[in-house]
Amino acid sequence: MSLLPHLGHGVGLRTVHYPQVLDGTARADWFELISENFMIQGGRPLQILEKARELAPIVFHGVSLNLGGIDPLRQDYLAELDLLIRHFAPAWVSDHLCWGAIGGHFAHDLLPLPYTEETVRHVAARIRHVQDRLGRRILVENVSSYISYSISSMPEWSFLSAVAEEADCGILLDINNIYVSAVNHGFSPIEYLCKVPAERVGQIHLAGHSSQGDLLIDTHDHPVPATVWRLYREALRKFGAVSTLVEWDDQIPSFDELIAEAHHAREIEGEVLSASSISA
Amino acid sequence: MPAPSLHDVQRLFWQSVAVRPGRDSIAPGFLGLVRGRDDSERRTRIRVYSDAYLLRLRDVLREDFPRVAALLGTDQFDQVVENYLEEFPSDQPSVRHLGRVVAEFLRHREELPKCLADLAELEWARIEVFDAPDAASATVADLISVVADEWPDLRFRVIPAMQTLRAQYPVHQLWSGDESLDVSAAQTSLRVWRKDDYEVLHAPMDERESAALHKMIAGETFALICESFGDLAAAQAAEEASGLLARWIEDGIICRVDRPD
Repeated sequence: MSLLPHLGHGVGLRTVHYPQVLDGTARADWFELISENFMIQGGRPLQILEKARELAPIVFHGVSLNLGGIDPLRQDYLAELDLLIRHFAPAWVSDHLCWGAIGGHFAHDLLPLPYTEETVRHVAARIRHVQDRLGRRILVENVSSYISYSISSMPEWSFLSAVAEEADCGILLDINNIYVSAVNHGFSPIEYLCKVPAERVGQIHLAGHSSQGDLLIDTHDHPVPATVWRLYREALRKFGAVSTLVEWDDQIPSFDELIAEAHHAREIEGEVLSASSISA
Repeated sequence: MPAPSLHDVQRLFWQSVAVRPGRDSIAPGFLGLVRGRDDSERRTRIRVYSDAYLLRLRDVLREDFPRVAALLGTDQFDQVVENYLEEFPSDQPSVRHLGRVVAEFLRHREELPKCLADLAELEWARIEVFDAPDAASATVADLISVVADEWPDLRFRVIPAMQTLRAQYPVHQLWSGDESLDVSAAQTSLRVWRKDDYEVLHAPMDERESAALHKMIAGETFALICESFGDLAAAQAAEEASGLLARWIEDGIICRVDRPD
């Protein structure tokens, strides 16, 4: 999205890297932090957050907004998110295009939605409500999935595009999730990239995954695999330079190893964009 | 037949993955909503979500209650978690609150050692003080200028990141001891607090300290706090009370000293 700055190539900040944040050696273009981890009243995590934003720009990435859920949006959650935003001034805020709670109970997972017109209208209305409440446009992320619904009437990229258009929100495009879901459901990840509205893509996620039988699982416990790097190159050719972030949530490596992945993303961006400018 | 609504889809999904954690309980009607070559493949795909639900939340509880988990052992802890999630599914957007009623849950499980509930209460208190509101601790310097006449009417404010708890068992020993649940019941009072450097600590208190601390929390004057030592000779009571106050200051659990108007 043209309204968002290009922050470069950042990393998701996790607790194992807090010591490097405190001693100032955690150097990255930018940090993404999980919003819910900082919806607390005090203590060390908030100190880390203060320190992190002294080191680099930060963005908040939520996992429990439940944008696709049936339950009413939690106003207490939105109030806490609003408070965080006002205090820490993130470059932007994102959450997921999924559901995760029903009947007041939370799965703490990113559960897939049926891709129907009804769902488009439902989710878009909720995103608009969130954006009105926060006074800013948010980004929504495509999730990886292991099931698809027989009642879905459109492919995922059409659903994502329709929601973003109707809600007038941005897109956080997770390249690994596209790849994982493409393998699990047998669609073309390239076609996915081609059908997403480029002007709405404000951020890219990269991560690793695992195999479980015939399925790929979005485990975030490996380096970014070659298949995802290849798809990232395609994304850059289609979207140009987009703020990119490497996620690693399990079997988390040292900060140096993590940042090396972000540096690799920067190298790839340089290669792709210089090749594009030459061919142009 | 009309297509199921978004609400129907989510209700069936939830019933299939979260209502009976750890058990294959796919809701009638949900299989037909999931694409797949056959029911076996559909079940495999749904199981990714039900397994992830249980494993993720079990990991959270294992991290929040490490000593309870260690003392119960893997199999028994896993069973406790399945039963807990069935009775108390998460009701907050942040998973940080998931274990809020674990102690209460354990207290009603007759088949488990009674000391576990007390231990869980201690582990949960440590989590609560970890991210309780900040407050700068008072120092000895805040007391130096207090004149003798003011002392009886001094009041103290404790930091928000401090809790007290009463247990039927010496849970501090369970927390730091070996892998044994073999402890005898003994009334135990503890305070749990977070230091300025964010380290979380806990310490047992004898009856006098417990009484004095509760008076301080209630906003009583120093004179009334000292009455907790009323069974001692006056000189010894004053010595004990001032020693205790010095320790509380050193531990950083007092954030404000209010002098009389």
